[in-house]
Amino acid sequence: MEKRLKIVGFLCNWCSYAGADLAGVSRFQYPADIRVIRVPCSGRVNPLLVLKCFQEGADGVLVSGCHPGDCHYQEGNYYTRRRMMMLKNLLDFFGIDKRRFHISWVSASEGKKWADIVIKVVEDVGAALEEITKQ
Amino acid sequence: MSLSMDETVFGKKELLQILKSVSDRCVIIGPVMEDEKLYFRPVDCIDDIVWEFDNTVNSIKEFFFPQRQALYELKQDKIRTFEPDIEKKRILLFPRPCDVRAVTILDKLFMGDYEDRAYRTLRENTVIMGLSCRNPGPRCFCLSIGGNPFGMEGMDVSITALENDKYILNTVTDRGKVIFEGKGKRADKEEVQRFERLKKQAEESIKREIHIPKDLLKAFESDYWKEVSEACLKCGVCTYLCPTCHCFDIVDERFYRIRCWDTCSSDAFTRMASGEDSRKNKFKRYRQRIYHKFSYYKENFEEYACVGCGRCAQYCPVKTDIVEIVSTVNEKGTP
Amino acid sequence: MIGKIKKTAKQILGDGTVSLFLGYGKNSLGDTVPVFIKQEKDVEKLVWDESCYYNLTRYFTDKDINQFEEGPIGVLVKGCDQKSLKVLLSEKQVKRDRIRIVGLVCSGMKNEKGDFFTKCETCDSNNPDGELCDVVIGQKVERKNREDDFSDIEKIEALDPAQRQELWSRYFDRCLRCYACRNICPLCYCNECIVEQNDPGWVRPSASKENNLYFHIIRAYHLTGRCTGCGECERACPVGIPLRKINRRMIRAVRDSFDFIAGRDAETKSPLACFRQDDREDFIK
Repeated sequence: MEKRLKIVGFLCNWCSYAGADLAGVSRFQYPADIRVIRVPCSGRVNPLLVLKCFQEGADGVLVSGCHPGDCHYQEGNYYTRRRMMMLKNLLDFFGIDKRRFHISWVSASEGKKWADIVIKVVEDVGAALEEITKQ
Repeated sequence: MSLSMDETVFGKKELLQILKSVSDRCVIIGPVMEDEKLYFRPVDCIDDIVWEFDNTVNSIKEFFFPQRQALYELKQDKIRTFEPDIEKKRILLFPRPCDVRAVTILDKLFMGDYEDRAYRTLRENTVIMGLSCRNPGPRCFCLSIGGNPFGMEGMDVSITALENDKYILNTVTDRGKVIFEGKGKRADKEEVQRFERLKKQAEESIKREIHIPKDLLKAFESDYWKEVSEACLKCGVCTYLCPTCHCFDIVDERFYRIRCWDTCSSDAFTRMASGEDSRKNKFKRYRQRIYHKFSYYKENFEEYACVGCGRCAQYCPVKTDIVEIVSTVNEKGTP
Repeated sequence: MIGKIKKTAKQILGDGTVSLFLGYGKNSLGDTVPVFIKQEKDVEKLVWDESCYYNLTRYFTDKDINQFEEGPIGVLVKGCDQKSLKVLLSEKQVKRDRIRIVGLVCSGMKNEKGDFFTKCETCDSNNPDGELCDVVIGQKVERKNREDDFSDIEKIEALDPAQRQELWSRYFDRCLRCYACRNICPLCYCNECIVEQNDPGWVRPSASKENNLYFHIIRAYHLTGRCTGCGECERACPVGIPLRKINRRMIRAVRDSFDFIAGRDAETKSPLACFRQDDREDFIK
């Protein structure tokens, strides 16, 4: 069996998790490297959680929430946007490859998009890790 | 201490040769430059070692009392302990007499009533070749606290730089003798006299003196401690750079139980799981630091837990000066 | 200038305007140290020279200091210190009517080697803000310094991720986790720092280069949009880690992404505490 990457996904309950569920029901195929954690809102995702994933050995992290304007809690994802933007910037400075941390907006009806995003994320994380092991 | 006529003189090249020849059998730890500051580090290349320097940022305590030491691993209910590597031999090159004396002070704790096996192994496997301090710094005060810039306490070999890349060696222990057996030339009268003159010069250049009151306990309740600790940041710089500070914490990280350095200045040091903390205020913690070094340790082990290296005053971000604080207790602190 | 400083301090201590005055003094070795003056007679201890580099606003959030103080606290601030004070005011950590701000015109501070600090070479606040301070002492100076072009940060950014990791590994291998950087920072004032939380354990407490990296990432993240670049963290570090570079990277990021610079005024909220509908999302899938 091919070695699986360990990618942690924080999915907001109302949009992204539902979208991922839809992907499953619709039988859209995507790699099993992602491990999903359901959160009420992407705004709940404390950047410390993302860092904890990396510390504990995650290869990659994905934070996925509702599209701006559609947040179930009105504003949560606006905060997500700013926070993750700064976190991504900071991680990059220390050489934690940009391709290991992703943020996405997936709505409840975007099953196909979810599958495509996971495929892309797994690809990117894999490529980043290959470069590290080459060193 | 004057030298007997058994002492030997080496040229720098010859010393380097001897060091290179033993470097395949043991790890050599010496002072090297890193980003414009000096640190004691295990060296890959002997030529990186710096021969002339004031003191390093770190002391040598980390080579006997590691900053981070795994005690055991607990995985799936199986425990794996870590035994000290008895095969690994090391040479500690050019620590100052103060730093070496500090190790002998720590010996009383780590090889006292309760022995730390790993510590003992590291002590037994390490040959210490100290370098006499020809130019004590402006913050040094070893003389007034039982040390000497040309001291040999705790060393296997004491090395002193004469002029023209010549070094005079005094082998203190048999271990030291073995490495230099049959090498070098005997010191002549002139060289010994030069050594004595350099020693006197070094001793006279130390202006700073600490005056430790014999009855320090009398000042315990004084408001003096509030005053002197006002600027203190409660960080760990003085503690971690101090050659005699030895407090530690035990933490669990993933599968490992790890012993790591801790500082009594930090908020969480005395705090218990219930939230109870008998040293809630900063001044109580600062007072504790002073008393541990200059009262309690002396009572328990008959030594002050301080060797006068001056690092705490030099690297403290707010320049808190322990000499000034301890020396003026009687003047300002006793009721 | 020192004459006016002492006069001001004496006055506000004497008439009871403040019960504590934070300033600069000397210890017996001749080092400049922070001094805490409570009585008029001690005002003589005050000094002002090119080694007064401390950011004294750090003591406003020191609970061991301010819990003993009944009256307001007076403080000497340079232009850089005053920026941190503005952030503290905007975060409501200090009440404006509980402090007296004595601004000092500064032409730069020198380190122990006698060189100007890098931050002084790019200083844009030699003259403290007259609107914030209760009094400003010193003749106004014309700014002669260069702009901060972040070129040293760009050098690091030119490295590939693996090289960057190696560079920072080398620094963080030296980190002792002494927390001097955190404790000297005026804006690191959490009653319980995340490093002291062991359930959940956000960052591992022992000092290894892997663990240390995460401590510094978290600290830099918690300062994003708040740090004013005073550089005390870098000065306090005993092992010479270039901490100010990390904070400046985020200062530039916040400036470029949100058009915000911390310490400009004492009211505006930090960019991470608010949002705009049109924030950029080019990094989002």
